[in-house]
Amino acid sequence: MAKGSEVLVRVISGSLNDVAPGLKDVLEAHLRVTLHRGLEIAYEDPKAFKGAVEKLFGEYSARLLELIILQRLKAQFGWLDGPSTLEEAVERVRRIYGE
Amino acid sequence: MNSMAKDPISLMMDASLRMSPTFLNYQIGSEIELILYHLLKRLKGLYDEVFVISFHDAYHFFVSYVSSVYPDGREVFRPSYLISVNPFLEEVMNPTMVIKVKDPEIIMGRIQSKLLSLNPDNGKKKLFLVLGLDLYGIRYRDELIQMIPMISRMLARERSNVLMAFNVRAFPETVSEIIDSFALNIFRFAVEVKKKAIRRKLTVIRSPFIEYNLRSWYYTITKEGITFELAER
Repeated sequence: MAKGSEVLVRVISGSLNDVAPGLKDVLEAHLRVTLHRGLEIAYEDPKAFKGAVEKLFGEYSARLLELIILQRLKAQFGWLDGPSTLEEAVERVRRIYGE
Repeated sequence: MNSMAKDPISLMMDASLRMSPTFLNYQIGSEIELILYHLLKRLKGLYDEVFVISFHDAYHFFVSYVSSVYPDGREVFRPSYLISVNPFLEEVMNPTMVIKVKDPEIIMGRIQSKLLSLNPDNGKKKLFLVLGLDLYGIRYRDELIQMIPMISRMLARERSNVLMAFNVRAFPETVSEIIDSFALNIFRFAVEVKKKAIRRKLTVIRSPFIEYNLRSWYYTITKEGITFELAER
């Protein structure tokens, strides 16, 4: 797994454990059934990941989860101006790790 | 009125009619949008005007999801006035007022002046729905701490029914303590997972119907409606 993907999966897992305990397994199962991938799809195709989260939890909760993930990435990488979407954040992480 | 006969939606409705504000503390996966739809459907007819104060496109997200489940979702959520704070997607919905700042005092000042311009003493019964304070708070944590008391006090002065949906789990305990201190009714919507199956659970944390406080129900939402099953204590 790419380094950036590892970091992102760790951040997403931590976010889910904090705000939606128990739902990480449910989301992973949903991703495997619908996209045939695990949480790593968030790095490979953030838009598809967001779409799958929206289908499972609704658009509002999907946005809430996205914002929590973005805040954690911002803190982890020390970004001063945080990205406003997961797609933007993944682009930044890819640049950091040269992936 | 015999409160022992209340179903949980009626309980929330009657509690909000007696005391305000009412906080609906939800977890991801609890289908809070659909709960609010069922609550609004019963409450809306009792009011002359419905105000939605929406932070960061929350109203757009709510309506979009609810209308994909219930054909009349958009109608049930249609406000008399929509105040959009820091919208992006919501601007196409022609809000009554758009506010694009993060400062709580400026946001509250503009909302207050808008409410004053609408003739607050016109005798009309008003219902306020505050959505997306959690989205605002994730971006602006320090400002949220100021915002909650300000918005609670300002809307309490309106002597109206105020409903707020908020995800407490997204914040540290200090934030939930602040919310608890301003909420007169608190209903918690949680999710339990067993063998990857989700069970949704409503608990009455605080309400004027003390015989129901700390009681819980499991609930199931379908296109046909919502059903509750009392959880054992």
